[in-house]
Amino acid sequence: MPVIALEPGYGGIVRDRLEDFNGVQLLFIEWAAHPLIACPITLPVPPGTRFGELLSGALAQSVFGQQPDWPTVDWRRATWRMNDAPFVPDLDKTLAEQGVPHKAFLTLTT
Amino acid sequence: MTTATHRKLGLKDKYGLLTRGLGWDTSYVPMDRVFPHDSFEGIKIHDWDRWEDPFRVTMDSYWKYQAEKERKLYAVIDAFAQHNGHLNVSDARYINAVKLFITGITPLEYNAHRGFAMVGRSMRGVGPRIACQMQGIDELRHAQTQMHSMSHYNRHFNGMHSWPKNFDRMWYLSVPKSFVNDAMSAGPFEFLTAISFSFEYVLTNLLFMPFMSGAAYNGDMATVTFGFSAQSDEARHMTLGLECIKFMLEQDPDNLPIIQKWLDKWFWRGYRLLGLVGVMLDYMLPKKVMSWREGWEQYFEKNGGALFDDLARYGIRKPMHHETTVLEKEHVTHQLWLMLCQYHWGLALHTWLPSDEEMDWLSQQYPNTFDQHYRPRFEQLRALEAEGKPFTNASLPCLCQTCQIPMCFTEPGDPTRLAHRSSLFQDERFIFCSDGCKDVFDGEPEKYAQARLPVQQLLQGHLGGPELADMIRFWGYDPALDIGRYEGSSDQQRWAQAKAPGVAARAA
Amino acid sequence: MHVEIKTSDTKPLRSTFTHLAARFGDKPASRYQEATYDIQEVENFHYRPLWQADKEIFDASRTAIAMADWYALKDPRQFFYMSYTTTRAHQQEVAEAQFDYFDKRGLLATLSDGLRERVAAALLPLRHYEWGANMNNSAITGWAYGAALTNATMFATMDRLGLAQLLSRIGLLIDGNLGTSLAAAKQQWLEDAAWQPLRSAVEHLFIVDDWFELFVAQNLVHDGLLYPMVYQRFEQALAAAGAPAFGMLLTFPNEWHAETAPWVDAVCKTAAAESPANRALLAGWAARHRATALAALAPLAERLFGTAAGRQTLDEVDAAFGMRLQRLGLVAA
Repeated sequence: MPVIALEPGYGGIVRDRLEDFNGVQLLFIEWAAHPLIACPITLPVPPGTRFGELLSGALAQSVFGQQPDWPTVDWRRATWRMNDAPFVPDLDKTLAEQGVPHKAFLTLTT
Repeated sequence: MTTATHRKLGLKDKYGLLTRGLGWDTSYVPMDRVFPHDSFEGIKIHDWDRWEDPFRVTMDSYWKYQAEKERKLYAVIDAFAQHNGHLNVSDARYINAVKLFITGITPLEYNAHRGFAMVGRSMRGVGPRIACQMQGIDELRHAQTQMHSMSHYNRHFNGMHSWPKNFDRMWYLSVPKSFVNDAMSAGPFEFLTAISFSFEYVLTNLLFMPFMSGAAYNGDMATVTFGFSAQSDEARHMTLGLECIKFMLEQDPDNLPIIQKWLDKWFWRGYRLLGLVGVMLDYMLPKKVMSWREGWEQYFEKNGGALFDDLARYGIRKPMHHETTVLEKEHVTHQLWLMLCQYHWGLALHTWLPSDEEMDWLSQQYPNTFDQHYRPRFEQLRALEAEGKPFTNASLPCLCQTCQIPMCFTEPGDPTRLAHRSSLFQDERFIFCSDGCKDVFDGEPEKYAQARLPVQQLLQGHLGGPELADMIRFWGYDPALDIGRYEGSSDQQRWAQAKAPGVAARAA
Repeated sequence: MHVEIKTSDTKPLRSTFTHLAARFGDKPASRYQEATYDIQEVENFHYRPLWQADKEIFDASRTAIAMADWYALKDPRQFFYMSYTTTRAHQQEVAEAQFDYFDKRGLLATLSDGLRERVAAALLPLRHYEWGANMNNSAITGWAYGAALTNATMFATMDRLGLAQLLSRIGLLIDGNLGTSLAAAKQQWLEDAAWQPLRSAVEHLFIVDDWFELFVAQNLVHDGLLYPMVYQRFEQALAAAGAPAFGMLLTFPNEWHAETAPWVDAVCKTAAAESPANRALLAGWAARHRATALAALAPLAERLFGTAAGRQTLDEVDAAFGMRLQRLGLVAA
């Protein structure tokens, strides 16, 4: 249901589209069953990043990488969901190539 | 000339002559041009004369009684400053409640003042306009007396010196800022539903009581005196809120679904905002007043329950997702404090881990959740601190699009799973912490898609930089004084020195 | 000799809030300064108003006037809520005593019927003029920019309600608390030929778009002509006609105007001095609304003073107003 405003045509402003971020996209990533991490994180990464590079790079450098169990994560057994649907990432393909959109919400279960 | 058949005026009629009798329907300019804002929301008012004045105060009485209250209040504020009353608070950790108040609540009072002045011009009915204008000046009073009450604290503690800039730029202050911007950008009837009714009536005790009682229990004479001084103003505001809602509901049955939608939205937005107050109650006050759980049970479940039972005759039901607030009452504050603790590097409220004594109080107040879910985390954090590896989360959080709080809340009914929802709008994805926030967005996506989420703004370079210290300065804070854990802070060191005279000052 | 009291060893970290130190230096700020400067939000608004999608909630572009610093429009009275209510309470106490005195001494009865009717006809409809001024100042308080101005207009808004109520109380004094005089006054405001030009002018103010223009039109021009004409000159005429005591009841409006006009002057003068563009705008608004106000007051002047005396009185009031505009720099170059 559209917003009720005095004049028609209200809206149209979105402040975090892909083009606002100067060559990177945002990912929201949650690591299930890790209660010390209070909430999902926001990661800015270039769309041309291979998924495997995301794991060994930005994600490893994030608070996820500081968890004691990070070094022992078996990435072949880890399961992912993206935007509330099962997702099997191809570690060699880029985010863009395998349709991981800007502001995708990813859940990692290890 | 008087005749025997005329009767003298009663109080209600006299007040009417001194208020609504001043207005008239314009004829040289159409009324719709004089009042262009009061129809677009779809609220139908057929008879403005049915408005019942919620209080009867003429300006002569107002000036007299308010001046007397001010005289008493400022006598205390002056004495407090002169006597260095800040030294009488329970502990310098308490001051973080004061910081939260002046950076996060005082700006809401200022906004309410301007908003009521807008509505005080926008409504066609004279009676409501006067009631709104009186609240407009009351809210200016609250804003100014708060600035004055807390002024002395600013001289001796950190984190408050640039409060207006903080409100505009600090990431977690976008929670109250977006709340009040939402109300200010709404139409006049929604503004009244949001602020007068939902905030100043339904939820008011959950803002006012925690801060003022927290002040009383923790030796903050300045703030508690402000609270007592504002009580009779708040009583007037409550009556306005209740009259607004009843008036709208009684004017036309078509108003019901509009009002219900607003009640749902503003209940939820107010509830999420008050989470910050809850965390203050449970974690920031050295001397505890009551727990969030207890407050919610008393002021919402019990008192609010009675209110909504009363409104049921109009067709109003309890706000959507009210059951969630009950399910969450034993969780939200712990989740929030744990989140704030790990973002200490970017927080201008100091944080600390609760002591054993405090954790025992929390266990007692939260018998179903604290020991099961949250004490283990605090103990783990304590162990890490003891090892010299205090836990820091240097990653930017995911914020909820609506309430703008980092998404630290769990699924109602399953506290082991973080909750998230999403919506697509104009091919963009938006993320929410809860069904409540998602519903707010889905109701008016054009409005909520505009929000300037601080994390996104930061990543676009709009919140200072490039280094963290630059950002902190941009937000209006001093990286050396205002930010970080309580342990080792300037506030803590100065407090220790002030409380132990004769002991040589520790090296900074 | 000076007795010292030590309260503690703690030295303050800072003298005042940062934004005040930036403006006034590193020293304790006054209450007025703390309660006024920079307290309004300026940026990062989250949502555009549903009622004005092309503006922000607080938006300096709602007026054509441009200021580098909106807080230059400070209030020479330095009113904040406490000093404002204290001042008004004191004035109200005096007014109350005057009303009491007037009432208890039965001084109303000393006015002839004719004079009483003249008073009622001249003054009581002005409660609606005050109500219009209340509406206009409420609008400015909501939609203007910068707390230095809007704090003061909030006080002015409530002042106008108070003045309307005072005039209403004079009516109730005249009709012995029946309300008949107020009903008659409303009738005049709505229908009497002499009042229509003023009512029309007031109603047209309700649709002025630019809040600064509204400020000039209402607080400077209309008040600047009406108050001297009615509250000063008419009050003097009443005294000359044998009803000097009545002027007592108009003490509050006269003092109020004498107190408020310097504030209005300071706002206009500062804005005009800022730039030639501002000055041109302000002068243009002043001239246009002055013409309207004079036309509106002419029939009333005739009513109050008679045809010839009315014209002369209005000319004199207008001449004095013209000099006021000169002092403010609000005359077209």
